[in-house]
Amino acid sequence: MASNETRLSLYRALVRARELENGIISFHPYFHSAVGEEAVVVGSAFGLRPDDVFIPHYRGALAANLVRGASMHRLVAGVLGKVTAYDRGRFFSEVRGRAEPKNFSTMGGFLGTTITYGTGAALGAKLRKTDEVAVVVFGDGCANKGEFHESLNLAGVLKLPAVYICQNNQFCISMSAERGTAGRIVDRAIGYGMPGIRADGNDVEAVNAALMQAVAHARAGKGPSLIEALTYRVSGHWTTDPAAYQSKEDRRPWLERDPILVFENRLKAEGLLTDGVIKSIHEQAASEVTAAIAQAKSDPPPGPEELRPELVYAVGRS
Amino acid sequence: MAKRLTSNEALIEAMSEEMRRDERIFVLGEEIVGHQGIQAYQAYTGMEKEFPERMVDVTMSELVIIGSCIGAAMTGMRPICDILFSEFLALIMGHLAVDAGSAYYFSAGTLTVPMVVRARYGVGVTRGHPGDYHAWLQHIPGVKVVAPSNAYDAKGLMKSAIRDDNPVVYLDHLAICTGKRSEIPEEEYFVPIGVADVKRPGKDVTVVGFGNMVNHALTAAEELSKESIDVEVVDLRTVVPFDREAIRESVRKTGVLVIAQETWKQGSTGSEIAAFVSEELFHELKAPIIRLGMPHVPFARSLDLMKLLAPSPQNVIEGVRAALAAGSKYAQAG
Repeated sequence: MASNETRLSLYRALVRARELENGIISFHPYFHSAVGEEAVVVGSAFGLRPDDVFIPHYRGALAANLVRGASMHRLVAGVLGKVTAYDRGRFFSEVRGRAEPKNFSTMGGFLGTTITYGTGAALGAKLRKTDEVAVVVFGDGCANKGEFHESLNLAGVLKLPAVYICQNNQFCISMSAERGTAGRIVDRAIGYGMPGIRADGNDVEAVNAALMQAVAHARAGKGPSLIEALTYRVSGHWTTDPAAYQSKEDRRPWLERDPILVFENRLKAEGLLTDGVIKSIHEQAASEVTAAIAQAKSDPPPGPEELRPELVYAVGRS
Repeated sequence: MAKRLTSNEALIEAMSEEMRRDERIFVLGEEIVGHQGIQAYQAYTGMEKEFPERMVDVTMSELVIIGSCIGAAMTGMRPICDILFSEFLALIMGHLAVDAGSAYYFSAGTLTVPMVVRARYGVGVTRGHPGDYHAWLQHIPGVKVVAPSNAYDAKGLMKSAIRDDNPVVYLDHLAICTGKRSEIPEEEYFVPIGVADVKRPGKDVTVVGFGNMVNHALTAAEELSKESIDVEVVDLRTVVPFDREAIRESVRKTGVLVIAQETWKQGSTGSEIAAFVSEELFHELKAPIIRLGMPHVPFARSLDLMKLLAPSPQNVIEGVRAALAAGSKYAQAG
């Protein structure tokens, strides 16, 4: 069991994720929101070492990057396409966050490709004889792609220090898992000879405990693991999607098990949180988000100098 | 003392020298180790013994072959990724061209993908996998492509490709890999990426090519010299981004341009060269530009049909004659 201080940090990270998601939703009609899935987003990034490689899923990339120490202002600037963004306005941070060797994600519009990049990061860690681990998070739709299967097979064969986390929100755009996915995703671990862990994707502590177990396994040189964190996409595919393909009956139990409420109620029952403290944590996060959005909105846009062809190739040579 | 090596042997020297120098370099691909196996067309003989941990032999999984090399490259390694054949570029193009090719730009320079992707092509020893699919990479920004015509350039280009901080596709022509030997000096040397080489100077006609077409052009030039036609042969060596200045210089001298390539003519590197020369040097041209290449038909696999598809030395000779004839008509009309 984690220390009380660690658990409260985890709670604050969860609230910060929610407030940032809500802040982006307030102005972005095509934001792929992770509201309702923050337990997976935060739980799969929290507690990693700075030298571990972390590759978030596109849904939740902003919030996961916050956990990994990125600046909220620069992430929001990336959503708005401002020159103060990590990518100077060249890409869009809501699907990737910040990109640097220990934290990156997709470079284009593809999903699933990142599973192979995480596999390569784990291979690099192994070849360098370090105990670094690579963690890659992806959706249930991605688990049906060739990249998932080829990666798990190779990681299994080479015993790579990789942790594969499926953020199973049961929808691939509008295709339900029921219609799109055969069997249980966690059971695929058996096929590749690695441990499979199914975690409650609305319980941040359950997700984080699964992560820590898989990371310890990988650090000890015992190879990869697959975690399936089962949740539900209570937000639409993007902000303005009414998600008419979901039934109220299906949504209700998941809305009732909102990941923030689940954790909040537990911490309150244990006497670690009071309503007053909860309120101040939310207010603090909300004002941080408001300030970040205001600052990013007033930042300058990128200019034509960002489109020079000589920016495409790295000039260095080893 | 110089030695005479095949392209494959020279490449093994290049990779081994670099791997001794830099522990971040590793090779990943299919059929790259093993004494009884195919061993990727003898491209890595002996390397498993010297670098047992850095020769990562994997199964037929092109998506994770390219993806794991990209991931390793972005996190500090310098992989040599062997996808066997140029044809398989089709399977990995999203990871390679769309993602790896834009990583440096989209990260504003915080991510680099120092990676060599080896792929074979060309009408050579077998009927399988002759297609050259690099033209897609001419269209999309971010990935470099090199294609040597001989063992000397092969070694120097490989050393430069390994040290380059960008993804570089390294095309090996199947007839060159195990073909003619070159003098390889004992001392270390590099062939720079992006720099063409005039393999034969001439004043009447410029023939631009890469890979085995350079050798065909040299054969053709020898033959044409008997008719007092003086052909300059420009070996691109790097096809993306190609050396515009070398082409400008040669075309300014001869005024006649023939482009020879062993791939489909439509939408090719040759098309791009022709377009840029027309845009920039229209008034220097004495004749219409001629592109030699394959018709817009899938790569037929009967040996007889393959020989008809790919331009031969005789086709280059005919191309040069056609350009000169058109040029003289043009001069008379003018």
